Amino acid sequence: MNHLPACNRYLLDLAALSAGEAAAIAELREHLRRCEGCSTLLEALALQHGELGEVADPPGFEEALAGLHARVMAEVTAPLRRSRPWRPMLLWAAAACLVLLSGSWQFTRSHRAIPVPRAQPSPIAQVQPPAMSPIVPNARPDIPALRGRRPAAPYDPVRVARQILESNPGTATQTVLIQQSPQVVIYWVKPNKETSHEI
Amino acid sequence: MFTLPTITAASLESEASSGAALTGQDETGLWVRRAQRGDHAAFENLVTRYERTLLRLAYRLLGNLAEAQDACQEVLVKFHKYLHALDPERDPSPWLHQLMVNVCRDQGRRRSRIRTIPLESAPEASERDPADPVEELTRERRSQALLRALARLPVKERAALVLRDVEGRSAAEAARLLGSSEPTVRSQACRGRLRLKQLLEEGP
Repeated sequence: MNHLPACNRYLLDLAALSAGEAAAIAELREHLRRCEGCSTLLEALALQHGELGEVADPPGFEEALAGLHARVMAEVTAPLRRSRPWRPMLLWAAAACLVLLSGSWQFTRSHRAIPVPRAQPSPIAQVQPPAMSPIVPNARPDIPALRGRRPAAPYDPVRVARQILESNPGTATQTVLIQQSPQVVIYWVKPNKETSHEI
Repeated sequence: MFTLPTITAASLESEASSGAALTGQDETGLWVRRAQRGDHAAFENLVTRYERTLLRLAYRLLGNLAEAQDACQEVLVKFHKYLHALDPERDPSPWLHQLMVNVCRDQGRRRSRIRTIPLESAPEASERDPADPVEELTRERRSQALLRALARLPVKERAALVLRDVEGRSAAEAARLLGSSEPTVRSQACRGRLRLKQLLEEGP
């Protein structure tokens, strides 16, 4: 006999009762005494409950179990053989490099639009001793021995040094090449009193 | 350098015989402690202890042996990964089963395979003989029919029914494993029973 639609309110209780969950519901017990459909359903559900408790393992279960065991043990022992403790550090270092590269690229990109003045050659005064003025081509150095004399052009430091020696015997001169380029050659010529006794 | 001696069944027996008899939990705790110190043999013993019930549960929840194998492997590898955090005094079995239920549930959600019948479980058409229902009711065939029908249940109902009726766990235990309440699990199991009966009547 089929289960009647009017009995639908008992369905969940029947399902519970079939598994021994709903111990005793007076109304349900009373209904079961009168309703053959619900009694049949209860019996079917109870039978199904018993069968579920005896479900057999599927074919190939033992083989699958053996394969599982081998796979698990291979996986948990593999990290010991392939241990690379530096790998996390390497990953962090790579990430840091990436961030730095990205930052520098962004910085370069943001500053590219601003015109950067070309570096000017350093003034000669910066490389000269503060006590004396620089000697530039065609400029007369302020050397006491040459004061009052007419300078020869172009300026020849070797000649100037010779003149210093001639006018001040025993005075050594020091000639320093400050700058040399295809267009200009700058010498620094000065009396070297500290070393004069060696000459 | 100090090395841990490898534990064997014989050494356990000698430990047990030397002192008071080890209870099941004591023995498990001993294996867990050894495994935590890096003894692979001890971990292998734990795997042997739990793999069968875990694979069985996974198969019943997923309805496919290959997928159950994958899920079980995932759980046992996590068992090894988090071994150091386990309390040797407590039985790891409930934790493992809860992990298995979660893994299977996630896998079930990912596949959305509520209405899917696993191929390996579906018998060939020639094997079925609708004219002979007695043959269908043999134990193995009935088991396969039940598992096929189980695989077609919604995930929550299937999990509740497997834990309650197939595994025979209490409602409280099933609720704990599923992270749910007892009334909810009871209700899901009841709905699952009714739906399962309907699916069995409909046939594959």
